[in-house]
Amino acid sequence: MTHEQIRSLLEGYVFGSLDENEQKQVDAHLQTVCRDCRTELQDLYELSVKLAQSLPQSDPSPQLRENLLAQAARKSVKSSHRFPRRVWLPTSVSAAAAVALFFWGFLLHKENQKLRQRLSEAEDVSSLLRSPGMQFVDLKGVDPNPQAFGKVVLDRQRGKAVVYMYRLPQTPQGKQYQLWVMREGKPTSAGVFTVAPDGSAALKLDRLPGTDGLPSFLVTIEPEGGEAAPTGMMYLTGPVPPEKN
Amino acid sequence: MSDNREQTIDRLLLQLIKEGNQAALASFYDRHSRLIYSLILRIVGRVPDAEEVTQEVFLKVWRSAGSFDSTLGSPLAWLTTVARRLAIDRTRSKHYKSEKSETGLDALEIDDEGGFEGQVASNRLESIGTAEHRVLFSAVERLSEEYRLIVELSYFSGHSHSEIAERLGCPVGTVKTRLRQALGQLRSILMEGKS
Ligand SMILES: [Zn+2]
Repeated sequence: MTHEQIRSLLEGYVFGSLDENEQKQVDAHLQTVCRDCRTELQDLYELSVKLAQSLPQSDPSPQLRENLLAQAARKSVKSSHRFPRRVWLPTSVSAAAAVALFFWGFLLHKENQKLRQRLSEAEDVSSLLRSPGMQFVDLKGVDPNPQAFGKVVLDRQRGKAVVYMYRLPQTPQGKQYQLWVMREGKPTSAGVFTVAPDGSAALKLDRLPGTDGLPSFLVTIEPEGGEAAPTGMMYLTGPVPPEKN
Repeated sequence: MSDNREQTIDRLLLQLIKEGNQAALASFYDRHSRLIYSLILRIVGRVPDAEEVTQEVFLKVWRSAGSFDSTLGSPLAWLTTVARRLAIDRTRSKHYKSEKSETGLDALEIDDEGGFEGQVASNRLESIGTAEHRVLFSAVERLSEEYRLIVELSYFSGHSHSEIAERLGCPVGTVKTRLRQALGQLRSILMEGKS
């Protein structure tokens, strides 16, 4: 089929109203990375969202959210160890978390404890995401560990952040990772941590130093318990300067 | 609020969901459940079905966030597509058909002039939330009748081109052309509303 013929099928492709053969042809054409068709397709997908937005809106029952999260918790055996809660900074139980605990109070099964922890994490992340000053910082692995990476969600105004790190090597006996927040070249320790078997860690920061400008982040390996200033090898740094296209 | 910022948040959330982060799933749900549920309810027509399908959609996100292909569009476009497909699948299931009521798809009878009676009409009368939604809603409203019909049959009822052709008694080619024109008209109404 020619580009023009494919083009005339894109509406049907987005709406799923093509027959199997036509759909295959469009797929094949898109594999050729036809830029025009891809742009057109994106426009059509956005139009499809706008159509959905044009409907009268109503909310599902709150019960649905509870069921979903409970089901997701059950279906995530593989990820149960992914986010060790090694929160070292003093964290008070926030009002939001308290409400969350109440909300989940009815779930009286063995997973209760885990669910509570996850839910308070959920509240933290979603309140961060809703805050107008929310920013993202990417962390990059340093040679010889370029596979490591991280993401920081942070709210400078409120001095809060959640740091997610992935694919870090296991630390040897007697060593721990230490996270540093850098301000004007001056490092402040944000605590020490070890990683889960898959190399991931998630940390909550409640009192970021300073409010102006974006801080930078650094992860080094240090003797267990941490040091007053970085001494060991670097594993992660950020923010990563944006790539030029 | 900029679309870009919204997309960035959605992409980050999908990335975290892929890594098994339940907090991210909760956020993603909070951001989009209203839209997704409303779309599904419009397609399946019954609250219990709509809730079940909504849950199915977000569980699918939980299990297969990795299958999101960012080159084809925004996370929201992907989510909407998944929701439409699952909702339409539901209307074709045996269980659904055996229990269909007058509030379901059957209420969407095409009258002699090719217009819709029943549910679509009553939906039109419901109040709509934000100003932006009002603009969008009137955009669909302002489509000429034949165009609205075709959007109705393909987008909301999930009929194939050939099914629509059969139903309207016209060639498949005409259906394709008309759908394309309909979306063109819809798009220009939307652009006009934005400026
Ligand atoms: Zn093309």
